Amino acid sequence: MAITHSTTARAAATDAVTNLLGSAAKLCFHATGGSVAAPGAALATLPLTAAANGGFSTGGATATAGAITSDTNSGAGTVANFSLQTTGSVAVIYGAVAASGSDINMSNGLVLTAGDTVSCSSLTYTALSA
Amino acid sequence: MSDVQGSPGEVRFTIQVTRKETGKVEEYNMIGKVLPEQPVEEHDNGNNALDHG
Repeated sequence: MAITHSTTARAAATDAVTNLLGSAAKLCFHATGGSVAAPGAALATLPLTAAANGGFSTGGATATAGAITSDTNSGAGTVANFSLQTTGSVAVIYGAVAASGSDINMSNGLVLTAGDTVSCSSLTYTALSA
Repeated sequence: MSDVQGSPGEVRFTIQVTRKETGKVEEYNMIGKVLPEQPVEEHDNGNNALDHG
């Protein structure tokens, strides 16, 4: 049978991870080829709210980020991966990016051209599903 | 080995891209699935790719 975590346990796991982001975290978008140990250069870097836990809310299974600063001068490339990093560029969370809904045409991927502005209006993190 | 697996972490974000050339704003609802760390291959001499120096 599958494992089920209590709401308290899920919140604790999420808070423990976001705590590792410190107080000046950033959201980065990358092309292919990186890893959590070496995420590589970012096509776009968006600073999160300067606060503990990377500016994420605490106490819930899903943490919500505070205000996020735009990157007004992106690099050129196709976004394939993302990372959440500390101010020292240590990746705490790293993963693959995809469209969350089939109503969005992402067949060609999210392609950035040099100088584009990348903004993030909503960001949530869940360490463990129910 | 059991093939039962735990649920992976998840990051959801909504991003807007403003194109430099046209000023057009595109919005993407995206999901990031946290990837498992790749196993580190050990060399014949006992070292691995994470060894330094």
